[in-house]
Amino acid sequence: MRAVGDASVDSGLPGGAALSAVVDAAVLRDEDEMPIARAAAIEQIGPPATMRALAVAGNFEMMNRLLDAIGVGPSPQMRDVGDAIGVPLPARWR
Amino acid sequence: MTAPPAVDPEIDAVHDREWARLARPGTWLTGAQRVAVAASARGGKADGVISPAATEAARRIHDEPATITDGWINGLEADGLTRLAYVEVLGIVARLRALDTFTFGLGRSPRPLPDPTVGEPTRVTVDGAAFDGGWVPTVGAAGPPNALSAVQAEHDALHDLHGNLYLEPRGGPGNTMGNMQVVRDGLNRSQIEFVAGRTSLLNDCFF
Repeated sequence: MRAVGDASVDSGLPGGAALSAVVDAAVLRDEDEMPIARAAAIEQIGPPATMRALAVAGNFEMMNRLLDAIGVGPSPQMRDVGDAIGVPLPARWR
Repeated sequence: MTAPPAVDPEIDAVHDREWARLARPGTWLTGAQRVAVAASARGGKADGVISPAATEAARRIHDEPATITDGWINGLEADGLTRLAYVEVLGIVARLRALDTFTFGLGRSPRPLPDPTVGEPTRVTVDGAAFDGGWVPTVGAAGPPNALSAVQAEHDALHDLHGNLYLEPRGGPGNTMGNMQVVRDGLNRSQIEFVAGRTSLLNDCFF
């Protein structure tokens, strides 16, 4: 789980590093890295899975905005999850 | 250069439906206003079609959603953007961001915004929508499935994208959130949730 918060940690998932890189490039709108990350993802997990990863990232770009914009934050239980993956909750949610 | 992957035809179809929804009159905004919201979210000009409050809402939702507060929304309301109109702006911008991120990831240019169609907003209200744990009215306790439920058309549009980009928010077999064994286009559930988590982290969203 720590790989979610730290791209240097091996997630143990097939193509984990490539997934991190393609998500980061897309969400952060990194025009230089995007073609490199996409090509690496295609090589490691294939074109359909790369396309689906980008679709999922898009969906969560949407969902993240919805929840933040209506003031719905994490449950108290999520505090422990955040600590476990090395991403402690920010002050506004404590 | 590696060729970009082919797009699931259902996602192209969702994109087409979203553009049609964007162009036509909504519940609280005209088609022209809806397209102007999208243009503002992308950093463009609204040319006076929408209020400064709506412009500000579009840009902040798009660029800095984690900084949004109830007090800020109160300020928008004082400046003339009702809570329900805010919900409509939110729906437009959130779905736009989803499709623009997907498009960018594929190496495509952003799809040009549609020409608006003429007509009046429906002004249809939703029975049972009330403040319940969120900063906008919802049908039931505020949460992911019903964030836009006070504006039915926006709620329906959200679920159109959600099921086609990610998974259907229900149990059962197939491409559903209840299916822990789902594999979609070769991406297994663990990989799917990894992408979801990483995206949320980058957006400073901790739900």
